[in-house]
Amino acid sequence: MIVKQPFRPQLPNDDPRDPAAIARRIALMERRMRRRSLLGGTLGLAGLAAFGGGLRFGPAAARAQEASLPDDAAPADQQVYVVPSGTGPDKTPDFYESVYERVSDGASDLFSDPLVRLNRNFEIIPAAALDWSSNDEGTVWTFNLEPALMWNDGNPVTANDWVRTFQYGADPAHAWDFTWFFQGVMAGWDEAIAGEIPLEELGVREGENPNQLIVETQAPAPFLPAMLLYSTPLSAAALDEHGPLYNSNPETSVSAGPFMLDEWAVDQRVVYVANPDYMGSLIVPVQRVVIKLAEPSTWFIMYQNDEIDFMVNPAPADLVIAQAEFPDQIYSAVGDFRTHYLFFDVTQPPFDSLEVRQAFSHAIDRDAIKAQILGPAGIPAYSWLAPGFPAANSDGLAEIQAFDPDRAKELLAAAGYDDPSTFPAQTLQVRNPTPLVSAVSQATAAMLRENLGIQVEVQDVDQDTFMDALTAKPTEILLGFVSYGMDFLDPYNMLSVWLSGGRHSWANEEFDTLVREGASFIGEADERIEIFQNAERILVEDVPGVFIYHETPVQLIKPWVLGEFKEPDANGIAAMHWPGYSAMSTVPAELYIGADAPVGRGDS
Amino acid sequence: MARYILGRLLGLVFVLFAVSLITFLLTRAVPGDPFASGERELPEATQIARAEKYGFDQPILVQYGRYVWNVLHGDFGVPFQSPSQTVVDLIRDTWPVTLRVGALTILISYPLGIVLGLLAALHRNSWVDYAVTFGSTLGMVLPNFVVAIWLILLFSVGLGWFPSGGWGSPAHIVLPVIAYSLLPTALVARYTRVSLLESLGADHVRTARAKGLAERKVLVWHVARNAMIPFVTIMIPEIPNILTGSIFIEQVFRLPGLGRFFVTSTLTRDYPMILALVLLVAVVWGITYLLTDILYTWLDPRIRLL
Repeated sequence: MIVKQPFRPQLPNDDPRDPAAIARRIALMERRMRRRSLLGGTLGLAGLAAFGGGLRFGPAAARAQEASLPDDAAPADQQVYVVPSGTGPDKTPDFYESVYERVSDGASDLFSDPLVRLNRNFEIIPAAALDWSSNDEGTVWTFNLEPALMWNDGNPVTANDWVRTFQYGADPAHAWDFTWFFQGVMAGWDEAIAGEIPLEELGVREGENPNQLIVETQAPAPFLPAMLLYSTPLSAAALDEHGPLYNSNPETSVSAGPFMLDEWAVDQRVVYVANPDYMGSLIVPVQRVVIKLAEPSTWFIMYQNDEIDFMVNPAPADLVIAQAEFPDQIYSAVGDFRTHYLFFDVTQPPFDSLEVRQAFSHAIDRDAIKAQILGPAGIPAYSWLAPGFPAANSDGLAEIQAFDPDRAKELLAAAGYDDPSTFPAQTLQVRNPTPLVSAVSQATAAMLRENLGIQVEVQDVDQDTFMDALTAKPTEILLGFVSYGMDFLDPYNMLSVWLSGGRHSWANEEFDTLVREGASFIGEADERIEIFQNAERILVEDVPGVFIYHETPVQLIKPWVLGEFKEPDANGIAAMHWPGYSAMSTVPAELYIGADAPVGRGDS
Repeated sequence: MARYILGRLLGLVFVLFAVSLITFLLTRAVPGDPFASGERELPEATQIARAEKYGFDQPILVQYGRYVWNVLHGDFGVPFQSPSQTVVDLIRDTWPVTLRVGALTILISYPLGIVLGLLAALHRNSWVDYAVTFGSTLGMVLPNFVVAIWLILLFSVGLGWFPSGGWGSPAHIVLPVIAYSLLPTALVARYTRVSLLESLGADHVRTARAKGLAERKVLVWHVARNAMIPFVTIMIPEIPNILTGSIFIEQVFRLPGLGRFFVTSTLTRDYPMILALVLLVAVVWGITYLLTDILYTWLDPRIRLL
């Protein structure tokens, strides 16, 4: 059976053997071949002339492609998109090598097409997989792959590339930094990462032919297609020949995506150029992506100086300058539906008291934080799931943690703290804060002091120390401030953060049951949403966290960066949507460089 | 002299062992897992696998023993921040950038500071002296990253004369060197002025003048040479600092140098890189102090190396 996508439109499901589908695919391939002739430039045309100028590769095709660039676009050789990326550990461009040590801020995951991708309306649409279906139980998933996909070393992209990629992700010798992602989901994953079964027994295999991929799950997993947004495969051949870091070196890099690696200067820049052998479904106008590696604190000056085309999250002081000098370049995005929140160790006093936690939740004026600090960078949060996220019930839950300082004081008194000065002094630990998060956490502490009369100090903690302490068992953080953004577009993903034994010390059996039930529920979408909404209500009412704001990342986009991606989406939001300039998104096909862009931006 | 130098170099080897052991133990004692930066806790199986992969499952002295053994064979490990290369490769790629900026900084700031200090001392209590004193005080109190931002706003954003950062052309090096030179120029000018003023008033200088020596000879042989001793004591040890980079300058100007790794290695718990950098600094400092001591003997024959 075809499992309906609860939050997204029905997917195209052409039978690969259907003549009409074959004709469509041939037409698509011809269109891509024409594109190749353009990307080949003069050399390509010269080469084609040697072959007598065939229909597919002839100059006419090149002219047709040039004509497809909008009138206001820069010529093809000036289609250069320049973005910054942090100078953190940058070991790879590949998700399955490392998630947290990837070059990923401005442009990422462009060396192969994932099985599915997100469009600007946050709908899952086909990418490398033309269609997909599951068995009745929702535990065996079949993905039919685009047969035209090729690696630029001449090898075809086949199901085996995904099989090897998933096996590499599960390999204990690799010890991937994202193994939790498929834990409890993919059949055999938990045993494979523990080395208890051979990698060949992982629940992923080739189907009836090399262009069919089968993924088996431990339990019904209607969210699997959404989850497989993260499925940009590695080349099995390159993995064997050069090892897993083959894409960190232009000499060994292999791509089946819209771009290929041209240069990687450690700590300076990474340059991608259009892959002339790309046969995927994104028609990408940009011919060169230059990623400048720089500390985020320097991005704003680079932006002011026209050295980059795009940046996110300017510091509050920089945003003030931007609002004054170029307000039309400011965009407020949805991002990854990230929620910033204050959390408690509910197993330890004083936060083992529900009244204390509720008192905290009523003592923070989110509207004031929005007005005084956040501006376009966030909206007040009173619940976990951000507005627009599947199953979000922001209005229905808004009153539970609403700002009410009188009620807050009553609750604190009810918890035994009639005299707030007897409440133990607290330290609010904040994870590696940006200037914005720092301001919000300071304001939060100030409101707790003012509205509850208790002592709260703020302590910034570096990322590694914070996460080590947070996930320790038992946790070593009594009161903290942190955030979480979605990994994939399903309520299960966001809500599973609060499952017992996970990131936080809060444990609620009823919540766990509902989240797990919703995760594996195959049926009407409305019923599934209701299950998740009931779970979220428990979460908000039991207050293991006080939800402060949903991040709406501020993007600065130069006026010469044009395209459909800047138009309002179905929800009226105009910005570059998550996951940004990536093959996991439709943004690369929607973005082009205008004719008035300064020349030479990506030269140094 | 040769025996002395050999002894000092042998002593340096023991210092390096001590430094490596202390640093090794300290890095392991600091809270924070090098691989705990993910949003969620890794499965226990993966945590165990990671520990095995990097040898963290072994007793700490075994880990240290392996490290020393590898280092003695020229293997400083693979940096967690950039595992596609070795620690040696990373330092080899980044240090030349820092060295180039640092060397230019020294070449500009030291002679300039000496000239300014000389002028101030020879024109004591004149407007020249006041201007140099004011300028050097300003140079010492203004953080170089603040100056760097001003320079970028003026010359990059405002006038468009230089790029705001990056690396690759001579234009990229101008603003960083100016910003980086400010403090050492100020320090050199200040110490030169003070040292010269002390020397100028010394008895042996008065005697030299009384003997009828030419003023130039007095200044060069009796004033400058003696003034160099405090200068060498203070300013030569500044050279390792300059040559190992400034996190601020390199970050603000986006220089792909070594300086930022002193901070990022600590923040990311990049143990191999931390150890290599500490050893590098220890070697540079050890050699610098050795050279300083040798310079003393040349400047003041009364000093003997034993």
